[in-house]
Amino acid sequence: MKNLSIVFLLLMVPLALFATGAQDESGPVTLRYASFSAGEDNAATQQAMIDAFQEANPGIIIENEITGYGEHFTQLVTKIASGDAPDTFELNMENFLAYAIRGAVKPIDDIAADAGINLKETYAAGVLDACSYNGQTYAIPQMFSTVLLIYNKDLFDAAGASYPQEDWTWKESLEASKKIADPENDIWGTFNPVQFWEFYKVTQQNGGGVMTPDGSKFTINSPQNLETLQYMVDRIQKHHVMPSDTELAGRGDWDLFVDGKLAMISTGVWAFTDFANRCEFPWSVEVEPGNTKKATHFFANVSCLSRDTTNDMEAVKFLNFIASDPLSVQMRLDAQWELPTIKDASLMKQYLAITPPDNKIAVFNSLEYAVKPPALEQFQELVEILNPRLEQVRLGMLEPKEALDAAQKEAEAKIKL
Amino acid sequence: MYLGSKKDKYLTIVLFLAPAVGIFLIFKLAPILISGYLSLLDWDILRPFSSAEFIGFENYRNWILGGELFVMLKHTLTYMILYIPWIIVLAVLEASVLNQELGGLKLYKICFYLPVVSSWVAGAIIWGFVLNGKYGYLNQWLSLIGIEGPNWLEDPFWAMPGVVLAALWKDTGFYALIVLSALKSVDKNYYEAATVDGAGAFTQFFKITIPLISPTLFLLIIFNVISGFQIFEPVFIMTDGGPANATTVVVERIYRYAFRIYKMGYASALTWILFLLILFVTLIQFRFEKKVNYDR
Repeated sequence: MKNLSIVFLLLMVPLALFATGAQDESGPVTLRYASFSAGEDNAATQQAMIDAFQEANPGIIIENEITGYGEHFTQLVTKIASGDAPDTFELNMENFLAYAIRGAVKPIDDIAADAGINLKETYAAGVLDACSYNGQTYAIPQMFSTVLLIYNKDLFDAAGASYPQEDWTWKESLEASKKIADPENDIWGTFNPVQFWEFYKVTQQNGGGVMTPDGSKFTINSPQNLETLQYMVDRIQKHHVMPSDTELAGRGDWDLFVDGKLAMISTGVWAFTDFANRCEFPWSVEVEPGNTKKATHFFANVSCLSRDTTNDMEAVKFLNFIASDPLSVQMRLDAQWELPTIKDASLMKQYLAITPPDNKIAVFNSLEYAVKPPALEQFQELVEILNPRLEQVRLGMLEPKEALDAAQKEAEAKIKL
Repeated sequence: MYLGSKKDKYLTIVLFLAPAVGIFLIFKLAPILISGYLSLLDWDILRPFSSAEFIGFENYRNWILGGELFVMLKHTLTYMILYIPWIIVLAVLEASVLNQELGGLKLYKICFYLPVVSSWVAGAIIWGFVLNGKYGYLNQWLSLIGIEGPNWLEDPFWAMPGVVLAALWKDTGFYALIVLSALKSVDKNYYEAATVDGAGAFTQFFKITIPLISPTLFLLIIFNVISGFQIFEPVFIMTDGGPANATTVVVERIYRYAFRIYKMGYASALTWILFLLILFVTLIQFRFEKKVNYDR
């Protein structure tokens, strides 16, 4: 029987590992925060913000659960579905809407008011607006970034083309691209990928959009959108100013730019540090050209409260601290970890002073034309419907009209509005 | 020899089995059965479970009538048709090399087995370099013999063959080890007798080796048909179902619908359709077993 007791004990060990200790009710509050944006480069900055918060609020302990962008959303969805959601978590703006619409996150207006936080006075109107749905605020904006036209001055000079201006339209952009592009020598005028994320923005530069403004109908195959998609692929297939997939040959558009082979690239402020370090030519930025009007990408990372958290007040205080406390803001600026979302523009002077790019004000000018992704419960399904068809057009397998008609039909059949 | 009482013996067996059976019940069987229940629901995974709605076999109906299932199955079959014959041939070749009395055999074993133990992420990065249309090693080698290689992973036609190449590189070592153990078990007397009768190496291989290891080869085919239906990592990591959905396969769609589109019921239904398909195909395969199994 002695042997059996040992076996029994061995069996009990893993079971004991599963058992979790009961929380001490009177002790400090522990908040779980799941985030993805810090990555390797900014993990230390994020931890410093958390340390500063804990020092100022001794009763609150933050358990920081950092994951990479790729795994964050899969893990988060699984945790929410299994009833083990972290108290607070970070979302990017596109996913934020999916969570808010489904009620996976809590509205925070009242909680913030009770905590003595005036959201409207603290945060810039545009980014706060990105955190709202149906008139309620569901998140605290942590950081934002805009997408700009970044250009290689040397390639413009060599081709005798004038630098991009804020009032540029597709026409000027295409003309410059034609002057610069030299496919034989692997030199390209411009690069905007033909995919969903570009498409929903570029259509709006042409007065189109994938849905009507009130979101009541799909307008995927509207004449403006058709014209837009034609323009996007013509740059590859007709004008030959943008590399095809074959010509790109697995290289990233960033690398093409850094190698001095690409004159214009539309990408976000997150590229600045890398470009400043690696580009051996002068470069600058401008607001992206539009056609009949301007439309630019704007991205934000926001932090939300899980619908299941019971520590509302502490959670909002924490999220507000890391987003807007002067200490946190300074840390974020020092680390060049995207842009703080606070209203006080004077703090941005430091950001604007760092060059290149010299025309950094375009970062803020772009915000005036910022468009949001479609607010749709089945948003991801729309991506799945439209994106492969745009790829087929890009690869020359479908005509733009066929692709957009098919996508319109499928979206109408599968997505409830 | 066990010296305790019969009752103790029985208890010991139960206790030793309990962790494995317990883990199987909790982490395997229960989720499988729960997924069966979920497949009958319309449940958005981001909403509370209480909001789930019972819809019967509606999810199954939508999969079967929707058309998407057949596109994925077509891709999965393409994968299997390209992959299975080659994996068997390569595994047998590799095992035959390992079965020789060669110098540096351990080194060969390590080389052949290294891809098996490396992660798919690392493998996919390596194959990204190999298959690159313009700068890839494969196309450079092909150009040496006058062939202009395709733009593998960015071309809807060539993306799946590209994935298959990487999968063959990754998996051959594992199956070669299984074939090797089968080769080792073949009685050497057969070869001696055949040599006396004047049979050459070629004849011996096809008339003795292949028939005698046929149960193992049959097992490999079953194994690979099952794992072929479940192909996920190389597709997910190398092409993410693209370009233009040219490499969408069943498990990749299950993941996509569950964790990106949040339709857990719909994804679960696809899981069960996959299970039934594998069951059906495996049953058919077993009916053929007698024809290939020389032991019976």
